[in-house]
Amino acid sequence: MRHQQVVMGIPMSVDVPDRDDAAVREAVTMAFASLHAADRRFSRFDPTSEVSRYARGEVLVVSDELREVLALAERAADESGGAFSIRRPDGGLDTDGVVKGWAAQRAVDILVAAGIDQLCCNAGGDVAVVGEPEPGRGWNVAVRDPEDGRRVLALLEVRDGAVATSGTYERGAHVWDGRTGLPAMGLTSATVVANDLVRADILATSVLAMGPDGVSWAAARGAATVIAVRPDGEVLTATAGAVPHLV
Amino acid sequence: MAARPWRGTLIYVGAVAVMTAAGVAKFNGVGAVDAAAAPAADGATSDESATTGPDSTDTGSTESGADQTGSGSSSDSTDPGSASTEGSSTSDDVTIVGSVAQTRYGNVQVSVTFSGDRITDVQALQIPDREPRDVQISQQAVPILTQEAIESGSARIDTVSGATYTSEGYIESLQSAIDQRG
Repeated sequence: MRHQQVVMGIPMSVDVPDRDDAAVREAVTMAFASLHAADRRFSRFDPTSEVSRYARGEVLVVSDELREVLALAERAADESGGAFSIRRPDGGLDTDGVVKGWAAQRAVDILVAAGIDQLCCNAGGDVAVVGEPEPGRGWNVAVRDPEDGRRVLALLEVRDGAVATSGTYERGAHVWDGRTGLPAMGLTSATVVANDLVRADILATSVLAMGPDGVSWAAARGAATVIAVRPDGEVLTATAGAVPHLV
Repeated sequence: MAARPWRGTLIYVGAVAVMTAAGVAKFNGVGAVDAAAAPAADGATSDESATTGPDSTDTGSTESGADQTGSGSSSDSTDPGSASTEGSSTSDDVTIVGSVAQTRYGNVQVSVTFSGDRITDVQALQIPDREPRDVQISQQAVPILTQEAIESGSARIDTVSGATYTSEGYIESLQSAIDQRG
């Protein structure tokens, strides 16, 4: 059963195969509620959201959620040598590079805590999976080719892991290099496979910001696999463990 | 789950067109997708186009009028259902029009052709095209998901990473068509 809602202006879905009982539906409702709550807290477009008030210096007591997101962002900025930044070139605060993956992983954690042991969560193209869709087979996650949506750049069979893709092809150059303040142009897309979606999403955004140098960098910092595409179409890959099996 | 190591297999990497030739043929007849599909369409085989041809022209012609209403969201749940059973008594092939899924960039609506229990064709009836940027999104994001829908008939691809905006709207409309069929 696939459950889908629009959160943060982005379609998000939870696919729980073979189960549609009350317990699953209640857990899915809670998971989406947590996503909507994160949306309200971190919306840049809502002047009354906590992140908007924080950016204006109006928040005296920071919530646990905002503190966690800011800590993740600070760590990512340190690790990437400043390439990853939640400070926009125009001076504004933009936590989107952390919040989507963080919120989606939190939703997945709610589902797992409710006893769901096989699921696929797709948060606007960022994917977290648990278990297997059917015995003996992992979740087949296709990564779209940034140059051509008819093509699949890679096909990943994933169990208990996450796949995040950050690219310039759908939303333009919305990722910038925090070191220069300029739009990240060195890659057209970066896909990261990691244990969880918090890490995968931050690493994917960091790799896009860093450019080609970020590919091997991410493989040393929690990425199981990195797949990136240069503007000329060249595909760069790195893995933390064994060499991937290329077909 | 963070404590558990990632288990998985990188099946392949590269600019590999996994879409089958039959899948490419599906995009013919969908205006906004034509441009994107054209370069690869020449190699398409005709193994399924014979059965899907009449359906696709049928839905295509009726869709263009409804397409322009755009704001027909209030009737989403009722109007597609009426078409759902018309072909079932005469043929194994049934084409069902999915509900209109509203996305940030516009409406997405698809029709699905079943042959028995298998999905043999998916046509995008509505995809966002209000602005040049949207057209670009549509051309890039919808075809891969058409492929996904077709592939899902044989359980090959479960989800897609990297198609941010249109993916779920597409899946939603697709799912509604599947649900209507029962």
